[in-house]
Amino acid sequence: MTTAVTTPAAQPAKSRSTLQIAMRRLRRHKAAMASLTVIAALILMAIFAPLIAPYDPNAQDLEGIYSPPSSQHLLGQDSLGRDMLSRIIYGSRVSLIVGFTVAIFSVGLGTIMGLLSGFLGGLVDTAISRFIELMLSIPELPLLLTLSALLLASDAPAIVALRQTPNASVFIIIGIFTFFGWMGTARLVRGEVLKLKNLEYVDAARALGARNARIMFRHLVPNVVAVIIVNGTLAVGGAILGEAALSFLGFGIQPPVSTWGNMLSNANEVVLEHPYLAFWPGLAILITVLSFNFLGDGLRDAFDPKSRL
Amino acid sequence: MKKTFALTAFLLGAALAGPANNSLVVGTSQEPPNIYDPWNTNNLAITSEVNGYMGAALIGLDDDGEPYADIATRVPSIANGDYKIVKDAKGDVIRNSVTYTIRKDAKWSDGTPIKIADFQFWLRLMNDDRVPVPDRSPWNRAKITTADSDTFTITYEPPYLFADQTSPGLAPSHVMGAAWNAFDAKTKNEKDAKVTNEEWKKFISAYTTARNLPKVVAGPFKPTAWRSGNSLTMTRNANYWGHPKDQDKYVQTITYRFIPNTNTLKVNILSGQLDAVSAVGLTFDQGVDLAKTERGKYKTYFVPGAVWEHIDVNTRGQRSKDLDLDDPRMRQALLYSIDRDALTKALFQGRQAVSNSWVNPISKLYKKDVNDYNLNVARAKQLFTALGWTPGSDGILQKGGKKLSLNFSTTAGNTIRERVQQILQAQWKAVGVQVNIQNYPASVIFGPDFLSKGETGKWDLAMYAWTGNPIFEEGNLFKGEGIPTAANGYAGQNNPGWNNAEFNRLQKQAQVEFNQADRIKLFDRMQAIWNSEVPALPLYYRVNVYTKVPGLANYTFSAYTLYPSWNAAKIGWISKGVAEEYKQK
Amino acid sequence: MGTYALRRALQMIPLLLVISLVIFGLTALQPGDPVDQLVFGNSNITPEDIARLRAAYGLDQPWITRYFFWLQQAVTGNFGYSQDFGIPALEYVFQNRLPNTLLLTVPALVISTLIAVPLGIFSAVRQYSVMDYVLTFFAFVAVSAPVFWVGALALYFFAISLPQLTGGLLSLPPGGLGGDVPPEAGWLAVTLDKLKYLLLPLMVLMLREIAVTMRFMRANMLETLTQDYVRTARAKGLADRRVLYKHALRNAVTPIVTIMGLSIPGLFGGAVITETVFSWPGMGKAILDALVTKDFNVVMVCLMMLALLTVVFQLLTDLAYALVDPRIRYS
Repeated sequence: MTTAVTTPAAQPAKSRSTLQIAMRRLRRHKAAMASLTVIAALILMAIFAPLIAPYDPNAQDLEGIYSPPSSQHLLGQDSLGRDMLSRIIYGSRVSLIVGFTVAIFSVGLGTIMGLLSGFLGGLVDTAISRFIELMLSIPELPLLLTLSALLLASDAPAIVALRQTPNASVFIIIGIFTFFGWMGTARLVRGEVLKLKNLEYVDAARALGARNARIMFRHLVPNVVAVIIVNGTLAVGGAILGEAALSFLGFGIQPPVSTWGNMLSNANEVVLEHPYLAFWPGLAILITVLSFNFLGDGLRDAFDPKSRL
Repeated sequence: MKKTFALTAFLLGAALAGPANNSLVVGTSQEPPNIYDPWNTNNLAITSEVNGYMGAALIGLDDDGEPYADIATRVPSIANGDYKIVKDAKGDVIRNSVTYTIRKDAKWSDGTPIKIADFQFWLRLMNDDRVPVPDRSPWNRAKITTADSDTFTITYEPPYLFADQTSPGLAPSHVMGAAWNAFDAKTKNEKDAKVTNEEWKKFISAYTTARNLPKVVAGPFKPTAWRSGNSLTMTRNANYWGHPKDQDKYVQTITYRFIPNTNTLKVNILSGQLDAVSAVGLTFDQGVDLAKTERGKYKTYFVPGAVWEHIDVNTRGQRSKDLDLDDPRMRQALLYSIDRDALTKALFQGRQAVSNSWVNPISKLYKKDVNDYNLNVARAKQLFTALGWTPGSDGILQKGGKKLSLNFSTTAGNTIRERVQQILQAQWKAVGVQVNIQNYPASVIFGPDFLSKGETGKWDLAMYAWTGNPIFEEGNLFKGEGIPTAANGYAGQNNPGWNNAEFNRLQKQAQVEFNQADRIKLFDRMQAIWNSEVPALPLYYRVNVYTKVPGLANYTFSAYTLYPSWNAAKIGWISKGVAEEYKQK
Repeated sequence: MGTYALRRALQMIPLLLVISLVIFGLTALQPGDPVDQLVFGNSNITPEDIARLRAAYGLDQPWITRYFFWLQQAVTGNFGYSQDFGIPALEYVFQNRLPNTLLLTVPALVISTLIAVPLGIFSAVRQYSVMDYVLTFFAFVAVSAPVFWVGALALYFFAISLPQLTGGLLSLPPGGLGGDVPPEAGWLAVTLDKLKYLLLPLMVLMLREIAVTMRFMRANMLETLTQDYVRTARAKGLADRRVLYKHALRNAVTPIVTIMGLSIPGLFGGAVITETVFSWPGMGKAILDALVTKDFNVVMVCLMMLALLTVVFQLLTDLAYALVDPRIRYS
């Protein structure tokens, strides 16, 4: 193995071992490991929500509207008398789906764009780079809100059809965050690719007649895997926080789909009367996002040979 | 001294409100974009409320809906000959007219007498195409003729049903006249409407904004300071003729604090920073919560309002035929299967009573003894079965393989409506009606492509509200002519698309029926028809929530007056010797 | 260098034009327009009224026509009136809103940098110490919590709980711009009054900024400390303290200056969530409101100002790099 590292064909093997080394290093990162445990627990909670939740999260109890925490309802009841604990448990489903999907799509798209831009160069690079430059020059939030409002209300047949499903706003939010989320990754990947592109093993591969696509995916992707994994992890938390912020401004995922974000923003209207209603979903978001951020940080350290672990 | 004061203020949040200096501090959640625009080119509630302090009118309406004379010397009536109705040979009313005499002491705040020219100026601009007033009814059919220097007659042809309960506005022609002439000269030949509109804004903003406060006003208070994003202060206008005799006893300064966040507004009430809250401010939930923690520091009022919440049922298009929504029995069944009493009890402590008519219960035209559609699941099931809808294996009603699945829309972000919606969804589910919630921002719901385009099947049920002064009830909302179509430019208000020949005929008749007793009879029949057909599912009339501290007199409003500013001249503190003339109902 | 700067400056013009087109188009394409709000709920309105109003607001024309009209006016310095406020859009943005926002964002940036930089250095120098862990944990919590949740909790604590606990002695107002004391009370009273209202939003806004800057500073400092020249200096026996301050610190602080430079446009954009939670009438809230009500002229003034600042400061930063770093040469 060690001798093979120097030959071009064996490059992927090296990166696999980079991954292995990183994982081994990650195991020594206490905060990251704790976070990983929390994340695993959250995922299990989302999957087994029906078994864990004490009540149907949508069961209304008009007599129990705004009841404070009690032995029957550990976290209290909301504006329709629904059990807060069950809603928090079920709410994890949409929040995590949004987080993971956005992370996968935006980092995936960012990687592809970064590879194309960095590897092909020329007109492609100019087009992608200029587009990113344009997007970064327009204030992000207004653009986000306008797009979200536009899609939530658009007359285009595809969007109208999409809106017939109750989960339409989930797809729209995922689409929007993906659209805004890929640029950071693209820039990082492009930078990495530019560094690698002229290294001898890529030249060698090309000399051996490898096609562009093959070079990109066999030789370059493994080398940007650190960037992808770290950014992907951080993007999960970012998307969950972003959805909450959009919900607060009234442009997020719409009821009846409930996420921690829109539970929190609805409760925010009555925060002075019933503060606990806002406290729980906020805490759930905090714990989840915190875990992903710690994990992302741990991964970054793990991939960084300079850091001491 | 100043420093001590500053520090105390910093630590304690000094409350400068109240009877101590005979002032009044009112909190509101909205800031008017401009004030005292005589043509009301923005029709926001807060603007109307604030204008109430500074405006005067020939005739006003009090909390009971009774007219009183303000600029005019007396209330016009048929009995005193000031109100005339002219009929043709067939006995149909062809025009009506009202004569007003301006009080001798009526002056603008700069001391200039109010003249007929001020009303003529107002009417002329009201009907000028360059002035962007939302609508001109009934002023586009009104003409002013002068009898002498103080007396004039306004004639409506075709006649206007409420001529004796309204009156033309006025604008200070001695102040605005020259600028208007300049505007007129500049834009007379302008082809581009946008350029004209810019010029108009230039003209009107010279008299209505924070930097250019109204130069003169007619009402009991005049604006003295407007700090954008913060507060508007008004002081008593010495030239107003209608002040109470011992006017020094009454409130001298009124400050509106603009507090856009209703939570903040609430904390300000709790900490005693505010004497009262505007009609535009608190949410219902906050009112309920505030009512629990009064401790004698303030009192919370729930005032029956003029806003009617309802659910339109779309009766147009193929989709509604397939779902039988165009059949009254289906709509009755939908109404029988929901428990509106339980809903208003759970959400509003029963403070917003269930309605069964579009007419406001306080209106004289309101018909009490209509079917109340209390929850009756058995009756609902009977109706569904009669229409051929039977429960499928999943419990959802089906007919010919099609499920009874309805799209229910309302304005996204309106928490109360979203809660009502979810409660109703659960109640309908219990009888086998599947309801899909599809909410959109208000700009979409009220935009050109939604409610008015019922025939495309964009919505089945839509929850929103109508606001209307109970006095000016014309039955317009459900007339057949009001169905929005391409032919009328989608201008009508009858979004359900309900078209009932008898109702249409009665409505037309009522519109020209100048005899109150006969109108009541026509409206009785109209409401009976409407109630049996239920083109919209009536929910409730909203209440307005506000608070005020004890001892504040004549700060009241009703569904007729809408804003506490209607009786501005008489607002005062009981501790200063002011007598309570109107009690908040 | 001069030609490079000039070329870059000229490139900004097409970029800004494209941006203005995108913003205008996106705003215009949204359903609903200002006239709908006037029309709705008014049972007296006629089709003629609607046509007249739409013409008056220019809404009867396709958006691209309106865009070019806007552009033509904007070039001559006329940015039109605010639809919602009836005053010139420039006056509304620059006099009514921008000062409020700067009052909030500038102190937030300055104070949080002053706090965060020493904390970041401390954290780096004492890497893996208890304090480092505590600060790191704080920073992660601060960036992981929804801002409006933190705001709501702060509001509840300072405006409701604290006065209850202290019998009304201590409290912070839950939002707004101040104005409890009249201007006659003197500058001190007015300033303190303003400060009282500023404190809560400032604290909430700073929380996140401190966390981000501190982490950034820590990472930079760690990076510098591992650089060869620092190691060499240490190896040569230079006192730790001197190495730290003379060499490492100077190199570590430079990027902070860049970051601050790049965050200047953000200062003008305001903080929409914090402003919303605390009813602070700033730019963030103004942009949000204008987008919702489609107050085109205000949207355009706000967003174009921000876009302009962004590209200008991007350019300035690049140029500053070139001046500072002899390795970078532009031709």
